[in-house]
Amino acid sequence: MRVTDSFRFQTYTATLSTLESQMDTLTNQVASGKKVLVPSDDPASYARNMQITAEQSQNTQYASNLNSLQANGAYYQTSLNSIGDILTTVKQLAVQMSSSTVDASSRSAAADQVDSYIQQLAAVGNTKVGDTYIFGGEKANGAAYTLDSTTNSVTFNGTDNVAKVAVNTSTTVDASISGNTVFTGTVNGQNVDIFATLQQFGNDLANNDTAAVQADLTDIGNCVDLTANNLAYVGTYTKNISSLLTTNTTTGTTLTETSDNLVDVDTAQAYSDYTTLSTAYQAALYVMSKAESLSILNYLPA
Amino acid sequence: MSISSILTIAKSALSANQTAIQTLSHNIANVNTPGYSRQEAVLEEAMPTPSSIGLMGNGVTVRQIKSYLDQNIQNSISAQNSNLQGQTVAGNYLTSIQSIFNEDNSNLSTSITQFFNDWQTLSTDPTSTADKQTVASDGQSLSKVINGMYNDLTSLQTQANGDVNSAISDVNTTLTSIASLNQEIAQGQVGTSEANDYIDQRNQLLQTLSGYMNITCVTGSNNMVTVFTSTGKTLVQGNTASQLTQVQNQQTGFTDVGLQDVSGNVVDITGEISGGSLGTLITTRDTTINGYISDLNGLAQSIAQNVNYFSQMGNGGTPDQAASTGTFFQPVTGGDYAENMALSDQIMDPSGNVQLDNVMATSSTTDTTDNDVALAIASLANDTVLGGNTVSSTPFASSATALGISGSLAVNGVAVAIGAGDSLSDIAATVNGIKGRTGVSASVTDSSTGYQLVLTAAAAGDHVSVVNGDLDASSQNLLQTLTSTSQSSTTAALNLTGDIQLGQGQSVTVSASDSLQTVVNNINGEIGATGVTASISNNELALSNASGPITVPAGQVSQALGVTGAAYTDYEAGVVSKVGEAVKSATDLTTYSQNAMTSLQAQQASESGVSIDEEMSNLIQYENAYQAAARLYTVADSLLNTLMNAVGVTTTT
Repeated sequence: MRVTDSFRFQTYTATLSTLESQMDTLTNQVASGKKVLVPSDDPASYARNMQITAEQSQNTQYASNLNSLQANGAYYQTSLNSIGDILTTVKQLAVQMSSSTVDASSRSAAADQVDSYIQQLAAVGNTKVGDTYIFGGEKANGAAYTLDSTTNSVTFNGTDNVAKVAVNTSTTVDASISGNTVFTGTVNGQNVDIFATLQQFGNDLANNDTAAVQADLTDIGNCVDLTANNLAYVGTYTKNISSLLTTNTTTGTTLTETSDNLVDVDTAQAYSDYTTLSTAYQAALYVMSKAESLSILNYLPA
Repeated sequence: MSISSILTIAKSALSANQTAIQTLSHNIANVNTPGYSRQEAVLEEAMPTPSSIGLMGNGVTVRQIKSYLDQNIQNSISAQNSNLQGQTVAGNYLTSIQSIFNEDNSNLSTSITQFFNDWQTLSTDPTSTADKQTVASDGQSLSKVINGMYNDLTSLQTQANGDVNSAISDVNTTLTSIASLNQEIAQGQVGTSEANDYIDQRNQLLQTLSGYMNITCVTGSNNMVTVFTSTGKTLVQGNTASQLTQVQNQQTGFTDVGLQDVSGNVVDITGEISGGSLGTLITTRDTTINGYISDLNGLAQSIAQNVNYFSQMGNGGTPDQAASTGTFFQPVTGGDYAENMALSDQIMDPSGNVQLDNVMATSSTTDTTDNDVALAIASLANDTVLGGNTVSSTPFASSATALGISGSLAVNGVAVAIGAGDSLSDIAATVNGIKGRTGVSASVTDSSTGYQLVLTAAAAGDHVSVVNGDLDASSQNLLQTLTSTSQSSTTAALNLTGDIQLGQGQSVTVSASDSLQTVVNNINGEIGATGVTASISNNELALSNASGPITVPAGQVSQALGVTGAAYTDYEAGVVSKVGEAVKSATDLTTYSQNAMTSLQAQQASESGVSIDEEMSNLIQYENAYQAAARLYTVADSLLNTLMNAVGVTTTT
């Protein structure tokens, strides 16, 4: 085969340009830390990494949702503890007042105390975090409870339903606890209404009706039990959120690892490849300079 | 036999070697000229003279200037150039498309995720004005990203069209030059000597021409070449060239390629141009880019319509695809979705102020901190977006047996609720029952493997999705049909209950006793135009959409119906992967063509290329011959002198 000048030079430039382009790719990979820079480098990995990035972003959003739920959980815990404390005090009062030896003036004083407890409970029912009344259900931007100061009757303004919050792609959990779940419910087969019970108890004390006060003792006991049940529920709820948060963190870590494996460059490998290429490049230049000195022109008189 | 013969022979030798050296200088001068084929003066003994002792040699003559040209290799190079140029252009354009879709540039996937995450945030605090503001601004960003990508794609189309125009003008120049070279070649032919340089130039032009489009060449009398298109239309005949003309396509506004023959008649040959850069430019402009625009439109349409469906439920409203009330994204009435995607006038008034009250988080008019709308929109992020206009479920043994699932499909953003007692037929009937609003029709198909519900869209822009669905996607292309799993009968009850909502808020109720057939009848009983059709085929429920992605929200129904697909971001990742594969394949093919071309060029260079070393050694050879011939003159002169002296011519001493 005849080797001609023009083609020889074309071959040199083609060889150098191929090597340069390969070195350029490696330089970009090392500089960016990614082995997949554009989709065509590895379409499947690039696309999978896009999905993972989206999943990571979603996962972060779910973590944010869970953190806000966890904070809510703490507020409910505190509120229910307050309710429990008040009811325990009321129960002690009821035990004292149920004795037939208590006189009318003591009972009347106790009735005033009960009124103040009702007001305290209503205040707990109107616990506000930011602009949200946490016991309002789906109407949480207005006071959950209205207290009639004359009759001491309490009206619930919220809803039984509560909004849901997504905590992963397939699960939603209650975003809040409705006041109706906290202040009313069923215990020991009995319907319980904390505000109604206390209002009744206050009236019975004012009326100095010993039998009725003694009867109220059972209802007040049910109120305490209801609150204990609710506290247990909040405990489970908070635990559930914590466990979802743990899962969320694990998922996040797994996603990051998967992404790293898919698109991150193996620096050692890239460096070694670069060395190989640069050696080849030097060799090509050496061969070029040697071959070019071989010309008949060097041996002809000028 | 005479001394003067020696002088004649010497003269022929001087002349021949001079010609050889002249030819050789031409070679050296053209050592780097593309397409040049080295030439050689072919020497031959001159006609001998008869004599008594036989034929006496008469020196040397130059028979011809031979060109070392292998026309077969040259033809292969021309043909290969079509592939090479075509693939190079395809690679360049696909790389541009890739950079539009490259997530690092577009941030489309990020914007989609962010937008739906914002709805999540809003769902945790449904009355927050800050969260509503974020939803609106990120909705606008998402629209702008999609608009921007759409504009980049159409700009690329315009650029391709510009390249088509310049290619047409380059082809015309080339055709004219080939025709005039034909003329020169015919005239320049002397005896067996051809007009070598003109032939080289013409070969070079033919190679250029085939870089634009596939051509066929036939060499005729006088060495003139006739050039045809790949479909046999004459481009150059003898010394006359036809011309390509720019014909504006009334529909697309782009340039179609016309061929004007010598008599001035123009024929549209756009569809006949294959290969080469011109052929590839036309395919890229008219097919490739449109495909990606359609992918983007599908995504934009699905997001906008699905978000609007739930947004319209806000504050006690009713989804109505025909109305703009309550929409989040501006309903698109004409043109492409991706081009016109924008916040609706309800959300952003004409003066650019965001109306936060119209960012709907709840469907309740009283329960102001309810978040059902925000939650539903946020969950769209996990919807399955099914590629293709037809989607089928996995086959069920019967179309009429209850699927035992609940949830809903969504067609054009309208949910089709499915109850636990629903059968394939019920679902189809439900879909069809609200066809008036959606244009979706449903049918049950009995096949060899069982019954299927098939939903079919009527018009472009319709799409079907499954909310908690039981439909299986057998197609991964861009949305139009959704098919349920097969049932053994179209008439047995599916034991599903619920509503299928289609199109503009119409719904078809499915009862436990409904069969596949009933569902289909109910759906098809309505007349409308959303373009989605339900049907049953092979015991699969199929939803068919004229255009746009079918979305299947994640959950029970999609799991039970065996629908496989991808979320919006997965769908987008799929498109990006498609572009990546196309670029990779174009790059690989270009490399392959380049290698094939290099190999052919090596063959050509071996045959036709100029080697300086070779020319220099030939130069020495001819130079020596020339010197030797010159010496003959001295010898002949000396001989003549000797002879003159011998015959007594006196010379003064």
